[in-house]
Order: sequence, then C-alpha cells, then structure tokens
Amino acid sequence: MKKILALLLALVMVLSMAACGAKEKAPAATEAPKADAPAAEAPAADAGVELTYWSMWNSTEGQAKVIQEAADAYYAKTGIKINIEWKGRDVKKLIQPALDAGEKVDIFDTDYALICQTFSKYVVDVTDMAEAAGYPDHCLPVLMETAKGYCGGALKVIPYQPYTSGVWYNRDMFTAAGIEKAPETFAELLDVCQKLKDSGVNPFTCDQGDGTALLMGYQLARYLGQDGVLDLIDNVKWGEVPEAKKAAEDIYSLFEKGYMSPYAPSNYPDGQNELGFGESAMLLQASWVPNEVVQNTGAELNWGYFPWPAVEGGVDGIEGGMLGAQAFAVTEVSEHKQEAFDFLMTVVIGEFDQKMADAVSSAPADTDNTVWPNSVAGAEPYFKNMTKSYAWAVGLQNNADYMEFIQEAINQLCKMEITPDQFIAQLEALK
Amino acid sequence: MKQNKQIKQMIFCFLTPAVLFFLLVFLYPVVRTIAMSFFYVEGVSDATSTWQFIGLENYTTLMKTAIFRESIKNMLKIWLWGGLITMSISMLFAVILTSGAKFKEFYKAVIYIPNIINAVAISTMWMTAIFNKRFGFLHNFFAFFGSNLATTDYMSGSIKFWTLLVAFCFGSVGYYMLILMSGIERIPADIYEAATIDGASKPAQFRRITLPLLTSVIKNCIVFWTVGVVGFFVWSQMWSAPLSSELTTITPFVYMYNITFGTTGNADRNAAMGAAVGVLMAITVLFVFFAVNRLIKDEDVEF
Repeated sequence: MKKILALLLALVMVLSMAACGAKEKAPAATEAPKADAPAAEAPAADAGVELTYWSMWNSTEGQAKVIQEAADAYYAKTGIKINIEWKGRDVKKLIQPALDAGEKVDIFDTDYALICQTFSKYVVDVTDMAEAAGYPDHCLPVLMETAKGYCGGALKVIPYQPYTSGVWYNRDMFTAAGIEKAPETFAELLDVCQKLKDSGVNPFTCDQGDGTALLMGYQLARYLGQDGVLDLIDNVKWGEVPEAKKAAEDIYSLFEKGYMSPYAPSNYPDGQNELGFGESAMLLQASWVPNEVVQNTGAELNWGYFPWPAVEGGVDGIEGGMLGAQAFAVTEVSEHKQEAFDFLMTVVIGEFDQKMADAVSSAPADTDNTVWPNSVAGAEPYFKNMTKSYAWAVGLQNNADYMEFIQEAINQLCKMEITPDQFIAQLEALK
Repeated sequence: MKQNKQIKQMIFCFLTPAVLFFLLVFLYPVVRTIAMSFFYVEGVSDATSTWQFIGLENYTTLMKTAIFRESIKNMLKIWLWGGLITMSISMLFAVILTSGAKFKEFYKAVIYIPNIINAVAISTMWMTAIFNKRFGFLHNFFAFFGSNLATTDYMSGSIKFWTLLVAFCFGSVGYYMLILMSGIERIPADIYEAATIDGASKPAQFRRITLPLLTSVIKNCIVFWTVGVVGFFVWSQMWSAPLSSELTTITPFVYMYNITFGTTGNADRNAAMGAAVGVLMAITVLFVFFAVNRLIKDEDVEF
C-alpha cells in the first residue's frame, strides 16, 4: 500500500511540475506597451501577416513610443501587424541565441556597427530593396558608406537616430566673452578658453570615463587619423609615435592652464551638468548629451556646437568625427523580408523619423527632414559635411585586453597626477 | 529490513524528478561550459559543429592577459579585506545583539535592511549621497571643518576600489550577522552561566566558548562569502558606469561579461574564453571550500 502511495505521490509531483511549466508565460516586460500607446486603428483589411520585432528600447522610452506609433500606422495602412517585444539593451545578448534556437524574429535593432560585426550572418542584404525604394536618396552619404563599410560593402542595416560627438557650448557665454567665431584649430581653442576664463567662467568641463576618453581620442585622431590611432593602440606604439606625446601634452595643458572646471574630470554626470547649471561653457561629448543635460538640470540653454579642432601638422581636420547610429536589420529567417523592409522605411523616412528626432532630441536620419531639434541643431552643417567617421571613443576602447589601462592613464593625466612623459611611459610599459 | 527497503524506494521516487530536472537544466550547461572552454567559440549559442578545439589555449591566454590578472587581484583584495571587515563587524553586531541588548529586533531589522534593497539602488545612494566630490556627505563634512579632505575624489583612481569595498561591506554585514546570531543563539545559556560563575570575563567567554562553538558556522560564512565575491558583478559595473569596466574595480566576472558579449567600443566576442573564466572561478570556489574544510576543524563537542 505504501509503495503505491509513494508512486502516486511521485506522479502527482511530476505532473504538478509539468503543469507549472506549461503555465509559464513570457515576462510582462517584453509585451508591447498598452497604457501609453495609441490604440491601433482598424485596418481596411487584415492581411493575415504578422511580423515580430525585437526592440532595443524599453516601452517607456521616447523611441519606443514613436516606433509603436509607426507600427500602428503601418497596420492601419497595410493590415500587416507588427508584434513588438521590448527587450531593451539586452537584445544584443539575446538575439543570437534566439535566432540559433529557431525563434521567428523578423526585425531587430541595436548599434549598427555591432550588427555588422557580430550578427552579419543572421541578417539579410537589403541593397536591392533599398535601391528600389529610393532609400539611398534619404540616407546621409557618410552614414550609408560607414554602414556598408562595417558590413563588407553590403547594406545589411538600416541606420536611424544617428549621433556624433563634438564640443557643445553655451552660446550666451561665448557672446558675453566677446567670442564671435567657433575655434577651428587647437591654438584657437586655447584662445577661446583664455577669453572665457577672463570673462569669469570655467571654459571647459568633462567627466571621467567617456568624457576624458573623447578628449584624448579626438586629439590623437587629429594628429594620426583613425587608422593611426588604432595602429597605436593595437601595436602598443605609445613610445614610438611622437604625436601620442604631443596629444598628451595638449590635453594636459587644458588642465594645467586652468581652462578646465576645478571639478574636472568629474564623476559622471556632474561634469556635463555643469553646463546646465551655468558653471562651465564647453563640453566634448556625444550628441545625446545636450538632451541629457536638459533633462537633468531643466536648463534652457542656447546651445552651440563645433567639431573638435584641427591640430598643426595633423592628418585629420574638422571633417572627421565620431559617427554612430542605431540600426534595424531584417533577419535571414524572416518569411516576409519585403514587408519588414517596407515597415522600416516608414520609420526611418519622413514623418516618424522627424518624430523620433523631436522625441529624443537627436539628428534625423532622413536628409529630407531638415528641422533639427534646437539642442543639436548647431551640429547639422558639420554633420552633413563629415567625410571621415571615427569609431566609438575614437577607438580607445577598441582593445578589450588593455582599454582599462589606457582609460586609467588618461584619467590620471587629466587629474595631473602624472605628466605627459609618465603617461607615455606608463602605456609603453604594457608592451 | 523491509521498512528500510520501503524508505529507499520512497527516497528514489521523490528524488528522481528533482535529479532529472537537475541534470536537464543545470548539469547540461555546466558540462557544455566546461567543454566550450577548450575550444574557440565566438557566440554562446554557436553550433558545436563550428567549435574549434584549441586545448588549454584559452587558459594560457587568460593567464597572460594583464587585465584578467588585475581582475583577479581586485577579487582577492575584496575577498580578503572585505571578508575581514564584513565578518568582524557582523560578529561584533551578532555578539552585542545576542547579549541581551534592548531593542534587539529593531536593530536586527535595521542592520539587515541593506540586504533587501537592490544593489543598483544602494550603489547609487553611496555614489551620490556619500562619495560625490561636490555634494556628497563626506565632502560637506570635511568642508564644514575646513579640511583639505573635502576636495578628495572618492570615485577615481585607487581610492575608488576602497569606496566600492566600504559600500559593498555595508550591504553585506546584515546577512552574515543573522547567520552568526543564529549560531550564537544555538549555544546553551547555561554554558555562559557556568563560565560567569567561574569568573570568566566576557572577552574570555567569547574567545573560549563562542568562537570554538561557532566554527562550523564561520566555515559556512567563509564559503558563502567566497561565492559572493567570485560572483562580484553588479557593484563593479555600478562603480564603473558609464564605462563597462575600469582598472581599479574590474573583477573576473565583469571581464567574462565583456569578452563574452563584447563592449560598446569593441564588438569582438569570445564565448569560450568567457567559459574558461567561469570554469576558473568555479575551481576557485571549490578550492576554498575544500581548503576551509581541511584547515578549520570542527570542535568535537556536543551541546
């Protein structure tokens, strides 16, 4: 009897576990937003086609709301439903295992370089579809070329929300200091700093981390170009390339001459917030930072922009800059590639691209959208004339084996704990 | 005899589902990870047919990689110094609260609270409210006294490691205090009464009674602490933000994450190398477990 009872109990236990497993549902976080999103309009005729899009955004973000609106509009127009799963930034970790496991995902998005370098074999070449749709006429040429360059010449990504980096400044402080023209050379930048200092404001500020990395990265890139910087880093040539020491001396001089805020390099985001609080005039950062400053401090600044200046005897001038973007990609496993592509065209071209730019104060992806949000409008002419694109942090974070050593040395240099000579010696020792 | 057989059958029946479940969802990934560490594999889910056997190369490369060695050093420093700080304070609180202190339950709850707050929230609190070099408590405190220490940057350079450690220990004390308290409360009160009658002072009672009878609890605490430190990740990431990692706060798990999934500035991935880091960390925990059991002998007492 006990034996039978034991067997029955075990059976009940197994069935209970199976039942629990069967009842599991996908986490709520991945479901499409309901409260905020406008209700989908009823389509003229349901096409019976459903596309699945794994998004890099969370449902509450500005980008998500615009994409959801675009999906609803596309459904209303075509009867094709876009099921959006808001995965957030973790999509870059989740997408490959999901596709390997046979998950039916038609569209996903993340950083455009990451898609090309990491997920290239999972996504489809949309060159022909793009030509047929006239997409190249809408995409910024340098962005298109960079996107193709990352994917070996094929167009496998559809970039949106492009960003760059440069010096964001308070125009009113420049005017008050009698500065009429943005600097184009490093010598002019030093003059501008002196004038601002004489007018009683901190000329420059920066945060430790990306902020200090950009300062050194841009200065190195102006002397050596992007390829030269990558060669310097990958082959640990800090002691062999004299321009590396020159760049270190230039950056050191900004701090030594008192052109930096007394708190610089600050703890993120205190440095960038100094612009919002009216404590400093300039900051070298990415184009999403003005919006962050506005959000953090509530300041309404008269924003100006200029690219990091050229240096004497340097390889690159102000035509070079960091150029990044998020991008959509259509998967190889999608059974509705054309429909997926057509939907994406509605997001990156026209009305919804402009809405995206306005929602998150970013540059529009469509060149026909000429109204840039105020905080980044200053970058428009430079952005459109950019011919050389730099990698993230100008390549200083390109080498996983010693990027932390480089960053620590840059922070020490910016805090004037080490001299430019010691900076070079410290990094050369890693050879 | 018959009863024994029935019990064994009962154990078998009840254990079988759990064992099968364990084999399916736990052992398979463990075996796969160990195997993966001897190959070159780019992505975590790459098909095994694409794996390239390279023997111990992942391990030898790791040993030669300076940033991995730095991460190990950081981990050992957290284990040693953090362990000493956390265990000492936890023991002190445990002894005080079990010695008849008033409002014991209140203090116990207060000290334990950091454990139920998310690590991200508590890190943010420390970084902004305490260590911020412009608005933090330490800045304001030293500025009030006109001290030069008011200009110290607690979130930069080598000092950043120690601020991280202080915050982490603060969040850990309550957990170990509760474990130690339960161990102390297990010791019969009449042993202490007898010692008091014999004229033993409180410190002597702690040294001669409490500590020896807590040996097995302390051993468990060391193993728990080791597991926690080896898996040190969120605190390190918080202290490195907005970067993915920094020299003074990187730990092996952060390095593993970077090389397995790539970083913003570097899309290169090596899931097999990440697997090798995981295997090394698992060996570290096992080593500590066996070392602790070998070096610290349980007192042969019954109470």
